[in-house]
Amino acid sequence: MTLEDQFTSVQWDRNEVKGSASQQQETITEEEPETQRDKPAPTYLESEIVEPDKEKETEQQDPGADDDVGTSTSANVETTIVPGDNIGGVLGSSPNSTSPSGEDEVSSLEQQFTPKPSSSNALESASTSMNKDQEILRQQQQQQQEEEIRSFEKYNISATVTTPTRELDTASKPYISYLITTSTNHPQLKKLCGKTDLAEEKSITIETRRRYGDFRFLHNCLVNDYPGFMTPPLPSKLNFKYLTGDTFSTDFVHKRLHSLDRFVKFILNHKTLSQSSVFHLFLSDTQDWNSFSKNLKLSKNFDTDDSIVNKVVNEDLLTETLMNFLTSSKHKRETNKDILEINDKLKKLYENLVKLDKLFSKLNKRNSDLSVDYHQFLVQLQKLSSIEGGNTTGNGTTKVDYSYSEDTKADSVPNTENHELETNLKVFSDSLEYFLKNWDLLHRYVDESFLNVLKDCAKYIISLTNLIELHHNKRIDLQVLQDYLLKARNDLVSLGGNMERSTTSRPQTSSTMAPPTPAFHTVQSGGIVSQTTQLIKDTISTSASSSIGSSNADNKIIRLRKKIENLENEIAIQTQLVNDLTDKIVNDEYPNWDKFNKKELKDAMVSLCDEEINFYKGLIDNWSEVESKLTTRLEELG
Amino acid sequence: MNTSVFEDIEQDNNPSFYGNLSILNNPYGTQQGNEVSNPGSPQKGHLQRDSFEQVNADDFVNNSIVLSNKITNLINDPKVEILIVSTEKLIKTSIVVYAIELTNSESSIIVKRRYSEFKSLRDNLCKLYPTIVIPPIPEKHSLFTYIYNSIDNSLELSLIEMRRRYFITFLTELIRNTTIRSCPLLLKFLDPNYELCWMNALNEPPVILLPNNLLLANPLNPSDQNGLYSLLPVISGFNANSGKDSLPNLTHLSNEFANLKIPIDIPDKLIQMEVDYHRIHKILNDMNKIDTRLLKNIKGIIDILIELGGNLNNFSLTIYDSASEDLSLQIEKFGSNMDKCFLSYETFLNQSAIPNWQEPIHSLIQYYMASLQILKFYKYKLVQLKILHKLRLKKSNQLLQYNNLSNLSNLSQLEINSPTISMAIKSRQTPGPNAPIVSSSSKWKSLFNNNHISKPPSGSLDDTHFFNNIEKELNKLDQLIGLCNSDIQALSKELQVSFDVFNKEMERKWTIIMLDFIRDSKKLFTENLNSWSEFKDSLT
Repeated sequence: MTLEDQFTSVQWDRNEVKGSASQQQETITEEEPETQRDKPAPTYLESEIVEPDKEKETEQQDPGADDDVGTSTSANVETTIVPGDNIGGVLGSSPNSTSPSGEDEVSSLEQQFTPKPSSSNALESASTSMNKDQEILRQQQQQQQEEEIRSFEKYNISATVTTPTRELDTASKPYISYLITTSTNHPQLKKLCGKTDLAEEKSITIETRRRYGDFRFLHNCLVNDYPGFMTPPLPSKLNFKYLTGDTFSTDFVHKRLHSLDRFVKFILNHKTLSQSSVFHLFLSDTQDWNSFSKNLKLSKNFDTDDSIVNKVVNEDLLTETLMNFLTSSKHKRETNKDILEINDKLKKLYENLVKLDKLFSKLNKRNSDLSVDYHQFLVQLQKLSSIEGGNTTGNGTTKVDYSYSEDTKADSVPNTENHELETNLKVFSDSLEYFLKNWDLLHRYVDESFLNVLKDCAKYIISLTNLIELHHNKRIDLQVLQDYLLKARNDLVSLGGNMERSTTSRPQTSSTMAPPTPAFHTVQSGGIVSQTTQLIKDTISTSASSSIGSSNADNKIIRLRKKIENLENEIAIQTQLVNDLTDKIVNDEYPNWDKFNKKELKDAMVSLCDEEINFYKGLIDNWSEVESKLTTRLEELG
Repeated sequence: MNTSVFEDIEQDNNPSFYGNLSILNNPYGTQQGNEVSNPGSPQKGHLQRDSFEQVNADDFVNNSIVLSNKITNLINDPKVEILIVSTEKLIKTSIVVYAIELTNSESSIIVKRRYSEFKSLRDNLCKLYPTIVIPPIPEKHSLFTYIYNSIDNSLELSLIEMRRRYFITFLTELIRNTTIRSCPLLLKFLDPNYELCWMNALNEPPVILLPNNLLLANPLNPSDQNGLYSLLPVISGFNANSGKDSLPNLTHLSNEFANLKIPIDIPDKLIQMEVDYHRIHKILNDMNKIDTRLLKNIKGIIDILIELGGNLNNFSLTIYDSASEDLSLQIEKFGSNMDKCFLSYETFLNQSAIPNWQEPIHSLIQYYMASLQILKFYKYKLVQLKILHKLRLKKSNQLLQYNNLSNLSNLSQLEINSPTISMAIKSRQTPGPNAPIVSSSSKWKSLFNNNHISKPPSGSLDDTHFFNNIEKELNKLDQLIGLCNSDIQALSKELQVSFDVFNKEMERKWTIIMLDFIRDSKKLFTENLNSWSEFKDSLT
């Protein structure tokens, strides 16, 4: 992604491209009926552009074109590999591993986690009949998605993360494990736990312990498997406390516990992510998970990848500046109204949450100052009460040898009085102590739970904006491609070739230059981008060479035509991708997040209320007692 | 000398004296002009300046008597209520007067007093009743705060409010005390006739009867005119109204007396009390500091709560649209809840924490300060006794020496035929007796203002006048020591009784403070509980 960014920013002015984007879109759609009339056979390509939603039907209608496309796929796959820094992209594009089939999740997982053999497999299979596979796969995916949604509605999984425990690993290094209690009637999970004999509607309870690393593993899997979905962010690993070795403080563990719980809850509420077999395996109490997470090393791009998508946002670094990319000028030119609206909402919410978080932290600091003060006050009170008490004993030991008889009487009176005062002071200081204790508890709760919710919500927003960012980048890619198509056509016209010929020659070119590996929603984002980048690079090199070696015009025209074909195909795919993504963001991911976010915020407020109410109720009860004691004493004193 | 002192007693408390128009024509200070601008008090007892000219002196006398009777009745009524109904600033000055109202079921009276009058009342009461802990009034503000307050009006207002509360407790406490209740000075303070001429009240008995130095007065009744007291030695550094005492503590003094074999009995209880009071005073000082910080923190919390409430409301507005109406509403409720919390915190701070918690604790410091002051007076009295004893010792030594020397002169007349002895006698006679006496007198000189007792002997050995003088002085000293001894005995007794009352009073105060704190906090908690419960109801 970074590579692509640099590239585009150097070569083109994106804003310029954007300006003419809609116009280009129009020209493309205008051309389509023409081409259809000329050559009705490969309709599915065009129809994909026009009606991406109906792709499945078109593909079914016209399966004959598959054989034509097949041969050149390998070349395209190669171009994808050449940028090379992103094996995940290849992995994602290999048809077998695009989505875990759900039938045999272990094998599919293995394919995903052992990139090398699977990618070679992918190459082989791709070389035979890529397109056919793709179409079947698309169908499968569609079905699977529907299935997932059905099973999401049909079965329920509920899980909670609780009771952090300190444990020692094999190297006797301590770590914290969290208990995940799952209760479900989902058949997959039942199967995983070997409880298939149960009746379908009966639910089972699974308990398993996972440590932070396991969550991380799951997170990475999900991020890679579902790039088009919003994966919930994990609590950050790089807490400064980690450096000081204080990762076992209850404060830290509790915060992390709440965040992990939220992480699991979000997945459970997501209709696709919750059906992920990796997640199911994670919830199950089998040994398989451990053998996975211990033996498999997810490819290095997970750890080193500094793209925003995978970045875990540190709690301490939540600031308004992080959201700068939301406000940067290029995004103001975002064309999709829905996305813009979502973006705007997210930005507002995020800013407010961060501000709120800051204010609450400030309040908490003040409150802890106050509690320090009260504590000091308490110490003084206790000193005072000990003096009053000491006075009593001092009087008790003094010899009473005054010449005035009244004095002895007078002496005994303050004796009891001071004692009374001492007990009263003690009662009072006890009540203060009670107050202090609960006050501290309350504010620890605010810090650990309430503020954590705010921070997490802010992080979830970042996650969602990352998705929007991805979408946006793709749009830019698309526009760049469209720009190039236009340029190539103009070149072609200026070289004397005409559009008629180019379109008539398309059947041949399309047979040689098959559309590059289609990217599904399961394709790793880096993969999509690097493909596009490569294509653009190729285009540049050809256009550059065309301007120098103008001697061989015919050759150039052919090459340009090829290029145009190539570009058109790519544009079709990208358009579909972008539209899919837009659709998904607007219709699925955003509402899903919105629901979750609202629920979280509301729950947070409700539980804060509960805490506050309990705090005040307890205090009022406790202090009422003290009040009655002191009142009686005051009445005695008159 | 005694007679001249006793002449002053003739100026009695006869109210007819107040009716003297010559005094009214010259009311003290600049206040006269300003006072005219004050709206007349509705009270019938409150006489306007204009009416003074018309009312003839006899009527005025009667009026005054009626009025002072009324005040006495009011003060002695246990149900009397003391309020400061209003404070007003005199035009074109920075003088603030406080209108004090005494009410019971039958009648009421209003008198206006300014801070300096309260202060002089307290100072004089302290002198008049050196064994009673006089309730405190707030310290006079420094020049800095004075300037600062003139810039920031709200601060000045809060200062006036603070003083108002202090003065109410001050007067209430005074009236609770049966001894002080009958003090003519207090009556005059509350007398509207004296509203314009407080200085006169200070120039009348009993204040005028006080000796310049309180150490020269009868400690149990400072306005007692026993002439013997004026012969007591004065100790430098004694100031009845200053805070610090530089004397060693009572334990030390008691040991000193034991070393000097002076038969004086300092009650252990007082010794213990001094130690305790010092410690309590220190603790209270610390508490006061913590209190200040605490209040600052509460203020900070209030500020943040205000900010939070505002931000939450803003939050709810910015995210408001049809889709997130619920959330927006919830957040708005959250914001208004925060606003409620801040309001209840603010009321707690201004109406409870400051007047019922911080100020009482601060006044406790002053109470203990006052009690330590009384102990200081007691200690000075002890030192005075010690000085008398030492003086007597010196004098009797002097007498002894004189006798020795006269014996010596007799010795020289014996005509012992030995040149060495006659030489020794001669050398003994010439410088001998003077040297030690002079040095000792210079040592004591500093401690005496009226030095006529310790007048150094003239040095002439055969002066019978001198011998008689010393005899006389020794007599006087014995008298004084007897007086002092009995005074101190009485003082010890009185102090113990007074401190028992004081301790009880302190306990009462502490209980009230704690109770107020508990009640006020409970009120705050209930308010917060209600607003949170309301918020929760609105959520679910």
